[in-house]
Amino acid sequence: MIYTCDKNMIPSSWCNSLVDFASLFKDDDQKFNKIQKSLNVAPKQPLSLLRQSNNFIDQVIPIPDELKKLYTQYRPTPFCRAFNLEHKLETNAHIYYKFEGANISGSHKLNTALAQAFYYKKAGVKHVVTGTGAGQWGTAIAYACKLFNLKCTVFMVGISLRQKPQRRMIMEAFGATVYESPTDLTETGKKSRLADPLCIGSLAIASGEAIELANNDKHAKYAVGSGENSVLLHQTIIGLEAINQLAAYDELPDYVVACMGTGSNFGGISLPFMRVFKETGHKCRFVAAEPVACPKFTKGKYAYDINDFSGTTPLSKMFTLGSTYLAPSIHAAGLLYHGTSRLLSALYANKEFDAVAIPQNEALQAGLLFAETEGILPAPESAHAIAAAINIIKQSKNSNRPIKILINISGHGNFDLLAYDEFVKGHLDDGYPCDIDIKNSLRMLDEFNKKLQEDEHS
Amino acid sequence: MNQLSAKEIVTEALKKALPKLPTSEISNTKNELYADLGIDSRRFIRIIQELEILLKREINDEDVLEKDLITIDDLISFIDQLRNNGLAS
Repeated sequence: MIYTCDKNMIPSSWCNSLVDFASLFKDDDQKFNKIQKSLNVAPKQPLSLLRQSNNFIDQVIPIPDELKKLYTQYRPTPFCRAFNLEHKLETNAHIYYKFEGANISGSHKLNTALAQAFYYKKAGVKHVVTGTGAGQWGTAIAYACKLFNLKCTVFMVGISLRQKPQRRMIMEAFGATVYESPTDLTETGKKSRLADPLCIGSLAIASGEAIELANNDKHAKYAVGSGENSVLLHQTIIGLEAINQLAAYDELPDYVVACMGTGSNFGGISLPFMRVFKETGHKCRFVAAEPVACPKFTKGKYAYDINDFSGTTPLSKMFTLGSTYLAPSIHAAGLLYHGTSRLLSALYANKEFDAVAIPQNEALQAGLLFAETEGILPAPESAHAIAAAINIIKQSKNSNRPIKILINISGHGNFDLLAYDEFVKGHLDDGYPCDIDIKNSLRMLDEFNKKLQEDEHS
Repeated sequence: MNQLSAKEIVTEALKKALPKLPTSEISNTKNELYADLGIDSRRFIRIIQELEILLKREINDEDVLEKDLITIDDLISFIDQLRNNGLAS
């Protein structure tokens, strides 16, 4: 059964998890990366978003009426029991999924894009600049800016743009200016091109270019698609809806599974459930599925790291592979950021959830199986979550009672046909990085953290 | 009516928001907020919150939009502007 039409399922407030886990943030923002650079510290984001990112007081934050009205265009998103997948897997497990891909942007990114555009407009901003990996965030913010009559500039990771030219088309259809990153428009881009002559790019570089442009143009403000506390806040609409929708089945999940890039979709589905289950005592395992190409939780370190190549955004203590890490090129570009949200990193350090690393071929195989049984072609990113869920089901085969598992399908894969085509033809590798690349990147991360300590004491 | 000068308000706000900052760094008003004092966007919102307590009013996006806030002197001028606009106590 699919619950799509009852607009009462859309929550009126977001779930502010900073309050639930405030004790984990005590000293995490005390480090500063000394770059001797003149910079205007006037906020690059609206104060309302900065306040949301630093609110340790309010358990819930109301969704503005104008924004909630926009959400009714595509929310509540579908929530289904995957009977056909259960049958195909010959399992007694109850598999549920929430599908965030049935909107114009094709993914959950629209939840925060609309919110951010709303607050940027309210703040009097006229031009929004951003970086995007796989293009879902770029598409979402381009659309949201169109609705709010804001100018939009997007730097998209080079290899991803070349794999999915349709993403550029749809962004430009909504009036955005799109650049293939790294460009020679910014110092960040020029420096990157020296080390990366094939212009593969990374989200850190694309974001760095966007930030540099915003820093040099008083009229342009930088918007971020994931990682920030305010973004996680906006994405909790996913989990809050799922709680309401699951109640109709009179079941509680034993597992909640989502893919992990910078954390917005994993946080969005998980954080509201974590709050409820802390209150009720229900035991549930939350599982983040990351790609073997970018194993920040399973092989990274919990350390201070820079967020982008401009080096001017606040340092975050996070699970990271180091900002110099360049992941092998896989189709799930949305999962290739070197680090992740500081909130989710603090939760992982506190063992609030588990993480597993999934090879590319296994993910796409799971994605095709899901398409065959449920009629939805998932984004390669989301396919990692499906693969992780299938592994959990296989491991629980001898369980006495049926396990209940909820998967968040963050987006559709209709622009990722090249990925599935290459998989079917056996042309893809699994995306395992060279151990030496991870080792070198982590060594530089250690040196960076050592320097931070020394600077603090000097 | 608030008796503190704009400079005193800024000094107080910086001390409260960033207690580890040496007083000597704050008293040199030519110091740059980012390059010398390490004030990034996350730290800046804390300064905004302390300024709001001292000024007894909320600082809005319109107040800071397109402002140049590079040095402590710039921040002091900003507070003076708020007051001259009659919006702060």
